[in-house]
Amino acid sequence: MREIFSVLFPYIVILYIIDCISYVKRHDFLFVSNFRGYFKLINSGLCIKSVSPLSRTFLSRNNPVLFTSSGIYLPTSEQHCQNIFYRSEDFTFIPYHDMDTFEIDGKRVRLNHGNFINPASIRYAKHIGSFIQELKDSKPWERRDKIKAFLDEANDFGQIENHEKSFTIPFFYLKSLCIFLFACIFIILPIGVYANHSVYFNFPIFVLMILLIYLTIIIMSYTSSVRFTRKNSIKD
Amino acid sequence: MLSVILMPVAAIHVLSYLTRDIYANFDPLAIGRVLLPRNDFQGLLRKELFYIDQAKTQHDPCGWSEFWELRQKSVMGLLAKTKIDLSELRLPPDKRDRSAAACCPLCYAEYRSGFNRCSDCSINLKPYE
Ligand SMILES: [Zn+2]
Repeated sequence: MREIFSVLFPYIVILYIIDCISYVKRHDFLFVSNFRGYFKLINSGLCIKSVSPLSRTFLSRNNPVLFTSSGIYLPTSEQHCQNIFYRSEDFTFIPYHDMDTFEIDGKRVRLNHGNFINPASIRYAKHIGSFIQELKDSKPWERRDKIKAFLDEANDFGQIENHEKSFTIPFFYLKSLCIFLFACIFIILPIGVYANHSVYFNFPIFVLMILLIYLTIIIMSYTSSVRFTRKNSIKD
Repeated sequence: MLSVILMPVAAIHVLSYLTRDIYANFDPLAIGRVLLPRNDFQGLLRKELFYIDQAKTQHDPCGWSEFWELRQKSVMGLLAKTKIDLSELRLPPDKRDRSAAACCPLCYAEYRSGFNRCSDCSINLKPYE
């Protein structure tokens, strides 16, 4: 089994490096923490997001829709994605009374069968979709205040602060398991494969242990995410 | 989560996958206010205010400026809560590299002579006096 792992190990390292690489589109903001917990911001391009098992990433995007009292502006083409600046000619205006069909399809919000809004995530697609619907159904004179409230809510960093404070407890065991898995794969496994004393290394038991940790991580991530989302559901 | 199931080694980063989108409904500025070091947050804020100012100069009959006016108000509200002074934000940076001839007024990257525009921000550089 050692021979198999000596062949497999470089591939495992390559796969891990691939998982650490991320591509950030223009107008996207990727917040990445290092092993000490400090965050840096990656604006665009190819980047190494996280090597440490403790690192966290948060993705955000500047609002892709510009709301006004009479309608919304949507980016028309790739042109907007290439420009740093907001230019009115890169947007198309759709009045609320011209919005016929409206559906949320995964990460996309589809308008009038053709105009797409492409937010960074499914969560944001739902959020923005329901807000457009709300504006459409509102009286014209109510819309300005609603837009202001929507923008202010997006800037309410107090909610993020509270969320960050409550973060460590629900994910403590999961975090520990991730560190343990990292140590098993990148410290214990190479010792077993390449060190001289590896005759004492029991590969079947080691593989079984890795499998167990992996399965526990999958189950725990599912239950933690359900519990965490229910307990701290912020602006869903 | 799909990548974690398809590529078991990605399970090491499961925490990252789980929490990646939790702040997606927030403005990048609000996230930056909580997570970034003060200097980096100020840089982000400086850029955003510049983009808003620039967008406000564009003309469109359908209410383009209404959105930017509301966006600016909202960002100024955030600025007030963070106790950052607007004048502090627009202070020119100290020269860090002696050979630098100009710097970008947004990201503060320094450039030697011969460069006119910042490659990241696409705006004209400000020469050092
Ligand atoms: Zn710059």
